[in-house]
Parts: sequence; structure tokens; C-alpha cells
Amino acid sequence: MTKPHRYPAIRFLTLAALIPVSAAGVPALAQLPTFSRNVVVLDPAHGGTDTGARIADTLPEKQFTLSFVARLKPMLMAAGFTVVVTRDADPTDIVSNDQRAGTANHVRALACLLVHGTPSGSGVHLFTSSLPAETASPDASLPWDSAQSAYIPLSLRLANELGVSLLHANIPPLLGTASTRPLDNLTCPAVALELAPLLKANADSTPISDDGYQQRAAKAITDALVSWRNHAAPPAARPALPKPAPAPAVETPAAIPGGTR
Amino acid sequence: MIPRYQRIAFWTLCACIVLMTLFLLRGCEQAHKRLTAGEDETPIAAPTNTSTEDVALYLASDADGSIAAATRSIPLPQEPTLRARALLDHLLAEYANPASPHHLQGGSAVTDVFLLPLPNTATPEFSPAATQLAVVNLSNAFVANHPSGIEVEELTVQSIIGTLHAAFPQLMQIRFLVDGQPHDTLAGHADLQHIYPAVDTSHQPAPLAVEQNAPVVEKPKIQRAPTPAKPTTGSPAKAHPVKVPAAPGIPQTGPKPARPAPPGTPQDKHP
Repeated sequence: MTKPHRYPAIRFLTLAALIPVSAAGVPALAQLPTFSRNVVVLDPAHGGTDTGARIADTLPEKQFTLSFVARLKPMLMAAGFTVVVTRDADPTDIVSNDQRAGTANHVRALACLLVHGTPSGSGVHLFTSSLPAETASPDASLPWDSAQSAYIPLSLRLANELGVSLLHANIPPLLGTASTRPLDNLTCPAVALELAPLLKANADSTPISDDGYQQRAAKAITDALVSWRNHAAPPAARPALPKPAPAPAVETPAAIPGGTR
Repeated sequence: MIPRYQRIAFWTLCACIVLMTLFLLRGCEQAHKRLTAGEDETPIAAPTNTSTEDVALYLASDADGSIAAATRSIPLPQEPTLRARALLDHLLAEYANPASPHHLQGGSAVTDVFLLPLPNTATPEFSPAATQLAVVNLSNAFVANHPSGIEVEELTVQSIIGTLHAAFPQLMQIRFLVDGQPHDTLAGHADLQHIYPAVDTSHQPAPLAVEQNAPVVEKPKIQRAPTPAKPTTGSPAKAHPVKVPAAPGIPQTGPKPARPAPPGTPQDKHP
């Protein structure tokens, strides 16, 4: 994980400007900011001198996360999403966790996925923040270190949506909470997604570098995000077209402006 | 012709050599016996009369991400800081077993454990003087050799927290150092700058919630989501219950077009 840089100026990010126009009858979520329903943030973890875990002898985690995001991104774009990635190459320097969180928070995404990989465990691990859920106050700032706490209910629902979709793809998910950066700093429904080898009974395990496994996982994630978009931010119904006024029996000049054109 | 006195001198010297050799060999044997007997009789450790006691170790499993309490009967010192360190040494020694479901490399892992009083933390259960902060000082070798990954690192941290919480109920918070210094992460993922609340971290797999409006309606066959075994209070350490109440949706105001925007087009903002 990248080394967190702590800037006092942004440690307590004032998010009062992001406090939303509330939706009537939604007390718990009414204080949350609005979202761009087609924007998804993907964060390929690690990068630069931070190589992450060693997936294989020649495959560091930073390279795996980048390649998986490169596979996932076009699938999401084909589903109508605009995808924002925190890094699209291997930088020479470390992309700090605060930079990643800043990128994600700026676009007000419908979902933020932190992509990790590990050689241990099995299936796909889905982690939400371990912060306690809190309700955001419209007049208060969100502390930078616990900005995610107001989004915990949404993040849990997103993790559940991803888990169900992965189950549908025969990939066992594992849900849990974790204290890992920059998950706690995100102001969007956020899940850290960690791909692990696919263990099979009486058979060799499928490594996460397997193309077929990655493709299945990426497809399941795409399906989950499409479902999440429909459930969490359904498109508003189109306003009904005004019915044409019944034709007057006697057309008079005064009746024309009020009628349909 | 060798003179007689030279032959007598020669054999006398040979006899002396033999006698000296025998004398040295005898001396060496006696010295070896004396040293060996001394090693056997020297007390290496002070005799202890500490009896074993039952303690709960919170053992993690990578396979299903669970943490379960297991009782072990081990001798522990009475002094609290030494007791905490010995407890963690036993816990991490269990993980050094190759058959452990959460295998870690063996060796010295915990350098020190400090128990510090926490001011102004009065609770109904404990007096302010009784509440404590535990500072676990991990060794750099343990951190350097720890497997990297969110799950495996989180399980190690939660396992330590759960074990300390079970043995020291007065603990309120736990933080970690590495070789006496603050450290960002355990092995690249688990945050070690965070001050963790001391809570019960045991949890078992639980069913994944299939919501009413989810695309998959059949009950999942593989159910591995963890849930806390017992309720805890606002704990970052516990696994969250995966069945969450159906939220009414992300706040949005105003009508928006129903079709998804193609890539590259201006965003479909809500509102």
C-alpha cells in the first residue's frame, strides 16, 4: 500500500459544499451528496516503488491490478459507464492514498472499487470500511480520516450486490471489513475488491493471472454495477407528455396558444 | 658401536615420553568429565512453580476468513506486560505451524507489549483508572516476512486484537508499532496507523443477503460472508453483517433520461 501522506490542509476536508439536496422521506441518506449515476472509479492499487504482494515470480500485485483494470474498464464502458481510473500506467513515483481518494471524491462516482490481488485465500474478497456507520450532518464537515463512515450503508449494499453477482458467476465471494487506505477517505459507495486464486476440490487451483478467471470476474463485476445503478440510482421516469387538448368544436383564435403545437 | 650410556639415555627418554603422554591423556579425560558434569548441574533457568491456565487464542483461517476462539492451557507470567507478550508469542507460534490455516513465518514476532492507562475514558464497566491502551511493538522481521494481502493481514491484526481483548478486559484500544516506530501498514494493506478498539473479533461465515431487487433470486449455494458471533459496540474490528436494510436509493432530484449515456458523452448527473 502506498504510504499515506498527511496534509493538514486536507486532513479535514470540508465537504459542506457536497451536502446534498435531500430526497424527501430518506432520513438516513438525505444528507449524502448527489452522484453521477454513470461514473465508476477504479483504483488499481499500488504502483511505482510500491509493488504490493508477489502474485507470482514475475507478477507483482501492482502489475496485476493494472491489467485487471484494463480488462474491466472497456466492459464497464460498453455498459454505459464512464470510468475514472486513479492510474493507468506504472508511475515512477508512488501515487499516494490521498491522491487516489481525491481523484475518486472529485467525480462523485456511483461506485468506487479498489482493486487488489493476493496469492492467499480463495475467490474474491470484498471489503468495506471498518468505520462505524454514521449519519452525516448537513452543517458539519466530514473528517478526512473517516469520510467513508456516512457511506457505509451504501457500501454494504454495493458489496452485497457484487457478492451476489460473483456467486452467480460461480466465484465464491467473501465479505468483510478492513481498515485499509484509502477506503476510509472515500465519499462514495466504496468496496475494496481482492482477487484470490480459485480453489477447486480435487483439482488444481486457478491462479488470478488466468485470463478466463479474470474475464469471468470482470463480467460479474460489470453485471453487479449495472444492477447497482438500476437499484441505487434508478433512472427517473420521463415526464408524461401532455395530452393533446380535445379539438374544440369551434376553432377560435384564443384557443390556439393554449393548445399543443 | 653405540656407547652404552647413549642407549640407556635413549630408552629413558622414550619411557618419559610414554609416561607424559599417558599423563596428558588422563588429564584431558578428567577435565572433560569435570566440564561435562558442570554443564549438567548448572541451572539454566530459575525453577518456576507457575501452573498452566486456560486462555483463549483467537485463531484465524484464511480459507473462509473466520476467526474462532480456541482454548489453550499454557503457563503465563503474572506481570501484565510479560503476560500479554507471552500470550501473543503463543498465538503467533500457532501460526508458525505449517498446518495452520493461517500460516505465518515463525521467529520472534512481538518485541514488547506496553499497557498504558487511558485518561478520561470512564465507562459503566470500568473505572477511568482501569481502562488501558495496549501498544504492541512488532519486530521488523515479522512484518517483513508477513504475507501481503488485505484478508491475510486483517486476520492477523484482528486475531491479535481478539486475543488481547479476551485476556485483558480492561483494554479499550490497541495500536501497533514496528521496532518502536509508527508504521503505515503491516505488509502493504492493513493500516497500522489506526488505533483499533479492543473488541471481540471472532466471527463465522454467514449467508450472503440476496435482496428482493437483486438480479439473482435463488439462494446462493456458497455462503461465506462473515458475521460477528456476538454483538460488539461500534467496532471497526468486527465483520459486518452482510444483510443490510434495503436503502431507498441514492438521493437524486429531478428527472433524468432513462437510457445510459454512451462513453465519452456528458454525464448523466443526479440531480
